[in-house]
Amino acid sequence: MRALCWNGVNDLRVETVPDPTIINPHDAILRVSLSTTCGSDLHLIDGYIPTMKAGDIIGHEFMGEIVEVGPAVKKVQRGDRVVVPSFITCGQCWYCQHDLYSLCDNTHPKPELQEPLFGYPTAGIYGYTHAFGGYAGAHAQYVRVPHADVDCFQVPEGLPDEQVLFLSDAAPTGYMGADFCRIQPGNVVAVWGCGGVGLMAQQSAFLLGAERVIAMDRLPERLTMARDHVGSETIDYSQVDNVPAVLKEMTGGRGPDACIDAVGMEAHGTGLQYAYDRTKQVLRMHTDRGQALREAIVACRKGGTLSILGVYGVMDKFPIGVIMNKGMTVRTAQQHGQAYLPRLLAHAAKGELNPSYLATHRFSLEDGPRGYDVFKHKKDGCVRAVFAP
Amino acid sequence: MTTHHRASLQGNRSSGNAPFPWARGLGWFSIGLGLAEVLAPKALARWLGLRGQEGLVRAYGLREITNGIGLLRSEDPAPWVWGRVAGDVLDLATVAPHLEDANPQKGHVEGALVALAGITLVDVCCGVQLHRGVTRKENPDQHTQESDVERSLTIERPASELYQRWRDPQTLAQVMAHFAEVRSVGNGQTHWHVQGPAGRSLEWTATTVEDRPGEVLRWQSLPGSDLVNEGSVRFQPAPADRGTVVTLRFSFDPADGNLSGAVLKRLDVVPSLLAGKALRRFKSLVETGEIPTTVGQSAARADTR
Repeated sequence: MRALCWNGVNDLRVETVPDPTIINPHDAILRVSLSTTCGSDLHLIDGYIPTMKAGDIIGHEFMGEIVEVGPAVKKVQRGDRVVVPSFITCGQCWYCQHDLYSLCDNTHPKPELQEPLFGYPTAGIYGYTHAFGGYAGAHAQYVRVPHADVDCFQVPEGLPDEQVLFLSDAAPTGYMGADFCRIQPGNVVAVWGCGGVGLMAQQSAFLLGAERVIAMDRLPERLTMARDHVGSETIDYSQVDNVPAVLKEMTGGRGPDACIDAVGMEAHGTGLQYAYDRTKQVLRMHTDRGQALREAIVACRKGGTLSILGVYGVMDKFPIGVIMNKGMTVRTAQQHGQAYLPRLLAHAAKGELNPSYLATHRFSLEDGPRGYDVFKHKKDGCVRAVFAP
Repeated sequence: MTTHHRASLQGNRSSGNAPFPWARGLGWFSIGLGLAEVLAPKALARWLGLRGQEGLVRAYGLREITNGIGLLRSEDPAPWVWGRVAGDVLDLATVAPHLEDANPQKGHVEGALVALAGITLVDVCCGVQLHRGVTRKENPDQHTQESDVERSLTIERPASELYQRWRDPQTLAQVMAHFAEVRSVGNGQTHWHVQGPAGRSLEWTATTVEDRPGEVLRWQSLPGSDLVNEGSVRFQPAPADRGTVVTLRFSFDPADGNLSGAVLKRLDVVPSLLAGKALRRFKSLVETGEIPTTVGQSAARADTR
């Protein structure tokens, strides 16, 4: 089959690779119908997250049709149209049974790569470094899905692919981020980032009862999307001196009740702090440019919630003293998609959630490297590049 | 019982080269600054109020460029980084005396001193890091000194069930497959075959020496084994609904001093990783019915890990 493979920093190639086969009894093979780029892929492509190997297939946000199942698969079957969360989960361990799916104990084939840094291994993920399991990714014609009964969610009839694709990652990640905020009536939620995850977090905050959502970005087309598709109020951070001060004014001096970081380790920003982070990152002296996260910590009201969805490494200059003295609650995780998929599919079926507007650009799989280039450099208003094999 | 395998193989591997990107970054920084000093010594001297010292600035520029090229081209950047530190001290000593009220460019001198202090700190940190990396590399095999290891993992199943599963020769074969080929030879005995690199291999037969149902199993290699060893697995209830704490112990070194350690090293076996991984494999197998793997999956290059 054809697949989009990582070959080194900023070196993606579409190559012919062996078709996937059933390896374990709970595996299924999917024919991928759509897959999409994710901002977190850029950290791999730019070389900020280690343990990629030349030849690895990338891609972790996808949907497709089941074409083959292993002998122990009972619930799903050939021909099912399904969407699959990015994390591979067993559904049996203590973590899965407590809805903490991305912390699954039983899907990491190489825990010894992750334990030295994290202390304990997380779940495996498709196409996202060997430290996260080294599973083949989904920018391919076919993909192997372990634990298919737990991880494949059937798509109700009548929902088009574009509406369902983002329920693989952007939507459950954003929804989880809003869920972390324990939104109460009258709450104001501020969201840093208007990419796929940020927009989904904003929409989810409204679905969960937020009074107002305020969104930050610097790209006019993304700010327009936040206003038009979600109903957020927006701040172009490149046009204001001090984002926390603006947020304070917009919230009657109280500050947002919850702040969601949907940016991550390659934040753009302004001024000295950005120059400092960028220089240290280029010198590989630290992994993170954390301006958005630091801003969210300062902007949040006392006793508020900081919900971190952006992917980070081991950041320095993290103002834990501000969090402590303001009595904030920090919630964060990689997405526990399996816990949210039934709810999200119900929202989609009722027409309350339609993320298809994120799919601004469509490419054939053969054009994968160009798709990532357009996505990475946000050319032509690109929010997400979608691949159809 | 404790284990002494603090430094895992992975830890050594990942830390060894870590500071080199810093060194490369500093190399490019040196070349950039050096070029500025060589090409525009007048402007720089004027900016700092060092009029008349253009020649010195140009010489310092040549020093920077040489140092930068050394950093980028050398296999061992450490001496070049310390060279940079020496240069930083020289720069500081040259610029500092101009921090006088009479100098109209006093503000610029202050800025330059702050920048120099910062870059000196970076250089020193980089040098220290490189030094640490080298020290570590000189003793990469500390972990093979100990071959007695114990690891625990909590598994969401009752002790009686886990005990039964461990006794099942098929289970043991699957759980140990990353390390040895294990098969039952009857009488509660198992045959172990470890395939090492370059055609080296080891074999032994182990026999059960302690068997308390639902609590503990202990085994020992029979006399005449290639590798004298013993092991045990204990099952103890975990709190609340957490299942059972399973503790696996391997001892590859009960009698023959350092010999086993040397053998394990030749076979590229790290006992602490071996025990931890065997427990994880056992947990996944009993909790889910399979052991997670990527061996045999699609990739453009074969996965040898």
